[in-house]
Amino acid sequence: MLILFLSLINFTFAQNLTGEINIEERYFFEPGGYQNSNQLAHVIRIKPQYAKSWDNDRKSVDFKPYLLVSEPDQDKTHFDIREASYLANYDTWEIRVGVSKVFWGVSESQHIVDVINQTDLVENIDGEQKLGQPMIIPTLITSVGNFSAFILPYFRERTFAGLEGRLRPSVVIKTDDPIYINTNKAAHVDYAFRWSHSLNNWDLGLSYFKGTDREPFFTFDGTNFIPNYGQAEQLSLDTQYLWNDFIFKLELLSKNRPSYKGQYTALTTGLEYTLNDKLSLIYEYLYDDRSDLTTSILGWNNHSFVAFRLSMNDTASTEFLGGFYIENSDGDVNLFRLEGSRRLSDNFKAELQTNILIDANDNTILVQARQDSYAQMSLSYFW
Amino acid sequence: MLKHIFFLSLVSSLYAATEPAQRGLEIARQVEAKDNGWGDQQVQAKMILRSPNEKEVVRVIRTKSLEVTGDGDKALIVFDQPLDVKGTVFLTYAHKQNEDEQWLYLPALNRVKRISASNRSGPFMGSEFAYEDVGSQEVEQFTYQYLRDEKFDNTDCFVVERYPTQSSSGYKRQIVWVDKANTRLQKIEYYDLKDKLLKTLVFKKYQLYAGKFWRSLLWEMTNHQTQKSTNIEWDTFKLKVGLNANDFDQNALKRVK
Repeated sequence: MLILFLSLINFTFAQNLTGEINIEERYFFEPGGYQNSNQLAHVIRIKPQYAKSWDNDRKSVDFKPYLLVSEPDQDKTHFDIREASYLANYDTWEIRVGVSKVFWGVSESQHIVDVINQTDLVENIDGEQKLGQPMIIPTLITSVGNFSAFILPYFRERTFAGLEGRLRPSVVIKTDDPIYINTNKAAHVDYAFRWSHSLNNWDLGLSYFKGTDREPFFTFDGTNFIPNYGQAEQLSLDTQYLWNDFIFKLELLSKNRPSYKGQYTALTTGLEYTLNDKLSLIYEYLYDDRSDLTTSILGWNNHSFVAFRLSMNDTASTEFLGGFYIENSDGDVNLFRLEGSRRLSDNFKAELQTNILIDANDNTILVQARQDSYAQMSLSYFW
Repeated sequence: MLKHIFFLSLVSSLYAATEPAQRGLEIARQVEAKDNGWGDQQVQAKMILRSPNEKEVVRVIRTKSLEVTGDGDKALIVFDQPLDVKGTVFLTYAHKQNEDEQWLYLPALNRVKRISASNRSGPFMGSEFAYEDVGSQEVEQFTYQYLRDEKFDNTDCFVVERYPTQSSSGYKRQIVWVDKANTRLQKIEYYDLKDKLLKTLVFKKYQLYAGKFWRSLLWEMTNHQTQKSTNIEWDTFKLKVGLNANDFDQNALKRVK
């Protein structure tokens, strides 16, 4: 009886235990200019997951440890808890507790409004990958939208490439001992509020955040750049409207950084047009009114993003996503990105990606990464 | 006199035109009325994708649906297999008048993405089913034309033609076979926008739940233009498990594991 019971537990446990192992080979077309001449970079990612929901999926737990091992840039090697969260719904309200990830926004080219989680920059310069963030989020669900409060008791520092790593400025960013402007350092409790609502064809989100700035500024200690984390306050709007085959999108941000050059405004706006079930086209306009872009990753300030998404709709789910970031003032292409993926079998999936950095914007942290264009191939095994 | 005859023939031809439309609509309403009151349901399914020259491919999904009075139903589809898309959730609010609303939850990014209605005509997980074939089908989403009575698989059926009203549909028309005894869908023929026969769906293994609600446990879809086919094998349906609107909002997508 006990054995039966134990094997039953084991069975349900095993069912909820899944994961992915990923191997990535990245090839840089040129050697780097600053003691980072390696053209090949190897990465292994291990991503197990335990996830379970019960009570008609009104309660759930999610646990996702994450390990990245990198060669030759060993500074890129890191362990993270992407998720360790409990999520529960009680009809008109909901609570999320633990380490988790929150996404705000509607656009594709950049995510200026999405502030809760720190960017895991060594993963990819597209800023899509995020570090797990400890949080408590109570949400009130009403007929006029969701009202959420975010209590963020601990701060995560941004990851940067090391000495032997590529996609970095000529001076190495030393992450060991960052400077915090606030005396509570990483223990400063940040908070945010958000109202979001869907009205038929219209989605709206209004957010406020106050706390440690996710985007550091840099000071020079004679050898390295040192990340400085100040305090920031921001107000943002993200909205989209569906009209026939078009989705119109807008993200608007006003941010104040008292310890670094004060207030600035940024926006992303554009549209996505779905031609048919396979192909959609994206245009986005990216604006930022800062004259000093040294804290911005790619520094889009007056740029256009022109992209396509192609889904072959085959059983292998073959997909392509390609986009150009174009400087509006002179029409120059600054960055071209192409991604493709295809399932090889029930357990294997292959992905291709290339980032061609032609001319990053002046004063950005990646302006000196002109020689760091690359193509990469990765293979994932799922269990 | 001649004027009268002309008037009469005009009336009768008008009558002839409206009568099949009326009858078709009535049959569609009967199908819906017979299934009224199921409330909510939950079911697991296996999809088997077959292609003439390729290996068989299997997909595993779970669906939850909520009956909405006065508007279209709400439905949520969770992808369990293939493993690389595990945890992806697709949410639809069907509407009687407006275009359906759709969202996709991407677990890797914790992002709920709004999807334009144009994808309704696209293949569902690479299968021969389009998203619009697996979604809730409301009476108001079609106009009708009764065609004839006919036997299908030794069962007496009404044969009704229906025309999609939502512009996002990938079909010009469909022909539906409904059995007279229990008013259940038996077969659907799908015609593409060029009015060529594209696919046939046959509903098999009907089972009765709660003494009132018929559910087909085997859907066989054949594509005549590509010779590919997809079967959906439904597991045991669970009706009235107590789901409500909160189980079908955007927050719910993040909780389903």
